[in-house]
Amino acid sequence: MSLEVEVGGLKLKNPMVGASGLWGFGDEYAEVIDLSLFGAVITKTITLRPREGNPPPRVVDLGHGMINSIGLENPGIDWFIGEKLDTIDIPCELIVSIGGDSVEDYRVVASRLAGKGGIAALEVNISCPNVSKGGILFGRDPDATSAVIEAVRGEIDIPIIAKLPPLPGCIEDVAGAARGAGADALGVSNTLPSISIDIEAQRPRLGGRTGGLSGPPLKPVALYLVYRLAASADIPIIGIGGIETSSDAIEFMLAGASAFEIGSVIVKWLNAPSDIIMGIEEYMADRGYKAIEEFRGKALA
Amino acid sequence: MKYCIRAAILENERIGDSYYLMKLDVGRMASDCNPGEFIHLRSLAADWPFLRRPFSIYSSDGEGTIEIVYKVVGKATSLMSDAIPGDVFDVMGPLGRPFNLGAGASRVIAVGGGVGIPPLVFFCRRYAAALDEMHLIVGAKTSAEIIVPVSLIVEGVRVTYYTEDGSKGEEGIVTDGLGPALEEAAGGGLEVIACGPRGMLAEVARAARHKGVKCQVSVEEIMACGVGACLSCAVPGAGGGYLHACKDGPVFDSEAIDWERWACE
Repeated sequence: MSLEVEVGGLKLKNPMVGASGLWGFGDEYAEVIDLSLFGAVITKTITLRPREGNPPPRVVDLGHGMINSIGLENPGIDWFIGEKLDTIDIPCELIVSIGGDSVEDYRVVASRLAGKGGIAALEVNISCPNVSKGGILFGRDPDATSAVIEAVRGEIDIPIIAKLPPLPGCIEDVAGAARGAGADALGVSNTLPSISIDIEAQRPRLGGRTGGLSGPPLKPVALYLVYRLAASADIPIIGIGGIETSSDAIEFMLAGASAFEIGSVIVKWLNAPSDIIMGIEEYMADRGYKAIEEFRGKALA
Repeated sequence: MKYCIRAAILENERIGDSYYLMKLDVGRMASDCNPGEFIHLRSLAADWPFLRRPFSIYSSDGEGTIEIVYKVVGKATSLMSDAIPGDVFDVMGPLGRPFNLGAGASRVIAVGGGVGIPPLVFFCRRYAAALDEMHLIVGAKTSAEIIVPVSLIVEGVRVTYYTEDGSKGEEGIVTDGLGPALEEAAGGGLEVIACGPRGMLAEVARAARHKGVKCQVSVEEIMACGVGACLSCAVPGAGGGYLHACKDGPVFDSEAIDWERWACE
């Protein structure tokens, strides 16, 4: 049995990928979690200039999920290339997430990463709900999506994953624009724009006021979008949203995802990565599958 | 070294109005725990909350068990107080930056309020014997909220109590005691450490700065990952931008924090 997958030219030893946001700049968890369990880990989104991020509080615990409003805090591409990239030594592939306020920002960040060793793919974040410029404003507009992906494609020849927002109204057009502009795969999806209000203080709980919903409440929405796009978009999909167990991950692959990402679950169950991989192996062994491809997309039939 | 384990509860006892002491079987982790560090935990049995919660370490026997003291403030800690011996928690730790005395430190004033007292007691146990003077000033609303029997636990430590209703020690708030203590202790080798609510820490930092005394504060912030990856637990830094309580702290040099900005956020 092999868990190997290939996603738009990106070869992974298994379909489990650490989602951008919860895995720092690659190696923060390395001391407590065995990263060799993963096919790849994705960095926090890196932008052209350093970003302070949003005022605290930056996270709300909903009990069944969470809302975050980090605001893309990161030290910028110069720091990442000059001080971080060469020090990242992890036993899985590294994918770098990039973001920007403008098409030019994305282009420059991609050009700075071009030719650098140790990067298996770029994830282009056009779906962050927590910034006032860029982010989700690109990912809900097919023309803007096309411009960003085209600019990045012109600078770099490693696989590009376009990470989309969970907005059913426009996702097919945005997916088509990303594919047309040269994306190799789609990440479906980012967090869902959301808010939580403190009824005593009578104001939003987050310093940035609104945030992005993640965890189990997002799963049926993201799964629906993967299911819809897998049937129509003709481009490999990485399923993202509320995956906590092997059953969750298998659902996404049955809906057509070639790989899946886990993020929020790690703040809850440290054993989740090993449990998920073991569960997928068991599912495949019980049914005699030798490869993920033998059951991927079966729910689409 | 950080550990990521499943730890069984050995004891979970009510020790005050809404305060509990939880003893955990953590194996080798116990030998790596230092005062000021925290653990991050979540019940494996409960569906609620979503995030692990950070708790300062109150004691470690160095061999296999540690203790934390917590106050029931919401649903997560309420569910935690229902845990019984044998229940298993997901535990990561020890995490963060501990209290770290300068090379010339010989005398320490520790200021603690409410649930901020336990990590200072751990500090006293670890370092008091090596110091010339250790003065612990503890404060609470009432005597019932002075949650650890400080005087019984820490030998060789001078303990001063402040309660808002005067039911134990002096009547007033804990920072009332810091000014006189700093006056009395003026001289070389003096450092201040503190743990408690944000307003209290700001006042301690201000008083220490006024006297030119090195001061470390242990802060509490809403946190998600605990290891510096998600950047949720932001604390405004004196140099601009944000520090992060889980990795840069929870113990900070008081001069590293932008207190004015933090008071507004």
